[in-house]
Amino acid sequence: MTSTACFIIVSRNDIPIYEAEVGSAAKREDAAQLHQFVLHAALDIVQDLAWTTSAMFLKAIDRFNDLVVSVYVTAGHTRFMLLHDSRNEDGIKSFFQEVHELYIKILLNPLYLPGSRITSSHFDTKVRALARKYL
Amino acid sequence: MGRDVSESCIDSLLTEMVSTYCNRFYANKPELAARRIEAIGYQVGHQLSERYTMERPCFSDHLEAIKFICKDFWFELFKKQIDNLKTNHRGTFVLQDNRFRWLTRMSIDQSPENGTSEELSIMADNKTMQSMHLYFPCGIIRGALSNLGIPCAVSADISNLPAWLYEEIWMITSITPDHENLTFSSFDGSLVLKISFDVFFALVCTVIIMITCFWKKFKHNEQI
Repeated sequence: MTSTACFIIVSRNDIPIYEAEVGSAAKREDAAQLHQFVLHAALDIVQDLAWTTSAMFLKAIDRFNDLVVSVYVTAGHTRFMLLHDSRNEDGIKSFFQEVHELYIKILLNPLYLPGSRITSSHFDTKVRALARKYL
Repeated sequence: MGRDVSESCIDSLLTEMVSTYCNRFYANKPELAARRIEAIGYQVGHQLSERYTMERPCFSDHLEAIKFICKDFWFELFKKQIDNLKTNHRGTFVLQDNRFRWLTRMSIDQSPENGTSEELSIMADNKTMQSMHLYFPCGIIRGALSNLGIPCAVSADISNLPAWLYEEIWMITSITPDHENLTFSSFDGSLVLKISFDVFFALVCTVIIMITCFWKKFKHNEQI
């Protein structure tokens, strides 16, 4: 079953520090920028919503055609955003929680500057494996 | 996530860190050593707060975040909670720990009460050394609160070693440049230390210090 999904991690200063196309569909040239554009446009909505609720996982907060944006906010206001077309909410929640653990491990690296891009290929591999497992 | 570490290891590490920075790296510049130690604490606090808030929901206001520091955060670090929390409801909080774990094994040079000038200076040295050990926990608290979205300045005070540790937190609600000052002043023979840093200056300082010290390692990592 092919599914499109684009995953972005945005820091508290609204700078994307990690992005990946994790869907199993083939990456289309015209859709690449579109996914990122939709996700960035949803940042305002996330900002408002994050202060209204104390939960970390904000479910589907925005739609574009048939694609849905789901967001997970950490206590340090780092946002994990996923653009997808599936309806599997539990899977997405588990995906976010596992990525949160990986992100904390990256943060614990004393040589990592918080707010800078995540360049570790190990992190990249693991995120893609998690995406295949949960999405 | 996270494993327990032996307490004697932590004690040795902290003692060694303070003594190295004060005696070797910045031998006659206690202000720079203090700033460096505080910056290290800032980064550690940043990372620790991220890790310890993983399971819980987000905080709705400043008081919630301070209570988290007093209870869960302090418990994870020191296996006990803060004993007393006071506030003036205008942005200042005083956290009081009656038995601060990292200082319980510090000894004091006992000097007689009739103070000649020599002995007063010994007392002043004592207070300086004790204060140096407080910069790291101050940095940890500042890092944790900054990560939770509350820029602040933290200062610590010991009135009776090893009994009391006061920590006062000022919320910087308006972003005005604040000249950082480090003053040693003595009233009635006791030394009160106030450190206030401009938040952004401290961040820039941390970045610069990290980059200069780990530049080679950083380059090595990039090439991998």
